Amino acid sequence: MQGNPAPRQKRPVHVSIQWRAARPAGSSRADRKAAFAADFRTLLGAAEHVYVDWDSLSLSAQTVEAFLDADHADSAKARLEALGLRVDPIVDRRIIT
Amino acid sequence: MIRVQGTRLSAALAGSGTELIYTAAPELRAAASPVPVLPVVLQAGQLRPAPGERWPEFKNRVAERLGPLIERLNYEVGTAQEITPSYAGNALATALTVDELAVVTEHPDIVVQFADLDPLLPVVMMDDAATDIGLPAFTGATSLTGAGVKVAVLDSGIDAAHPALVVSTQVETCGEPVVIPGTHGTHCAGILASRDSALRGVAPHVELIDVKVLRANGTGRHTAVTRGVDEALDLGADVLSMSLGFNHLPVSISGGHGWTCPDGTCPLCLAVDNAVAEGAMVVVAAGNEHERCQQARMGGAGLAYDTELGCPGQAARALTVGAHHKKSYAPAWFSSSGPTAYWNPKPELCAPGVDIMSTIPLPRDGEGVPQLNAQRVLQFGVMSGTSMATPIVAGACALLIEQARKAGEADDPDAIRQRLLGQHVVPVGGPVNVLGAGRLRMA
Repeated sequence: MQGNPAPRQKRPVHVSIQWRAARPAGSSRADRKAAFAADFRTLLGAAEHVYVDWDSLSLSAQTVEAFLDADHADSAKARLEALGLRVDPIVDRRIIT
Repeated sequence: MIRVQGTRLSAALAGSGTELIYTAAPELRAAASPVPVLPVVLQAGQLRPAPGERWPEFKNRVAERLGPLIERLNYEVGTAQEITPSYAGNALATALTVDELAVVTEHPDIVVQFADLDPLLPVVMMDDAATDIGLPAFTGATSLTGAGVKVAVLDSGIDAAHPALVVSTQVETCGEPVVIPGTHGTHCAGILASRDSALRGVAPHVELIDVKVLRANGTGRHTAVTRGVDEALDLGADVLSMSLGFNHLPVSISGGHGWTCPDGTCPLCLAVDNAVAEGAMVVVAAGNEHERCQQARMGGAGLAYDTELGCPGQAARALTVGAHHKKSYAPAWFSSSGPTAYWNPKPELCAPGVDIMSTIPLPRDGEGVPQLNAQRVLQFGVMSGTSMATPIVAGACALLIEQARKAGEADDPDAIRQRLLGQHVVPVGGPVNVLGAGRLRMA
């Protein structure tokens, strides 16, 4: 007799988080990126159910990619937005014009 | 004197009174047939549509002009080759022997535009767009080619094996290897920087950077695009050419991306504005959503989106480009109109974007090896879109940057933008929310 299949786990929600703070300062792009990353880490440090991929940091867009726990995605997103951050789902689209 | 550009038969032409302006690459010359038949395009005037003149009327007018020429080819020259008229181009495409060519060129109204390796290309090509923007006159007077200017094409990837393209650097942010080129990216790159004898790009000697932010099929994520902007800036790009955009149509409408950006600060727009602040010119396509938006409005879904423009096309500091038809300068039916969602007037200008001939990826064999000796019809193709207008403007920016540097003048984005919009745009009398300040006109 076969057992019941394991319940399908919800996938974490893949998002970008944008911090539209003042433009990062620094004499070089590397300096600006380091300074921005440090400040951004501080801001997101205590965010629950948010798993940030810091290698994905974009200095120009002032974003990082992150995964939100599927079961807490809405509340996690709301908390991020309450911090003044913009959260966009990362979705594949055909975007050539 | 017969002026033949891009011919393969220098030996056959020797002593025939023909001025050889350009000779094809040695390997192509070696591969050429010894039969002295030259593919040629015979230009027979420069008729343009009169104000209010419809296409059938214009076509008839051009046909009246081309008719005697076709007769002459058929009866006096007796050519056995097929003759293909191009009404929009006021021209005929065919192939002639040197003797036949000599007879034809006695006709006072005929100019032989070019000859090149067969098979013949349609006459509707990049050359038309180049003429529309006054490029031959501008580059002829200034000798500018974009040399020393770094231009990044953020797209679906460029075929670095293409004989008309010289790609200096390739990076990807989309997860697909750079050796998989996109048709769209290769086409845009050719418009900008093709070094082909006949289908020459706007700024052929730029340092071309391939930033593959999309897969070959044109799909991708906004984060791959913004990381591509970072890559381009890290590589020191002077100009970013972005023929892409997320539209604001709801996903319930076919082709809708559901992107929102009410104030021009979304990740895509901010990336562009920051890139300009870092010293790069960023040229972005307005988008091709006009027709779709019209249908949405007619269907009662007009409130479902806030602008026809895509992002990052609505970035405040982007040089946003709409598309017009060649020759008539009428707005392209697809070209997204402004203003932005936050009521900024856009696009800034327009450029040719309909039926643009440019490079496409070479055919590959079963193992993915590019076929370097592919026929020319397999190396070039026609595409339309604000995507095609964008690299034209990006190339123009590269020329102006080169010019500014040679003159010791400011080459920052604000200065180049001011020069471009102030000196190289002419009004076309169309709707400003579609065509912006006017069409690109270098000279």
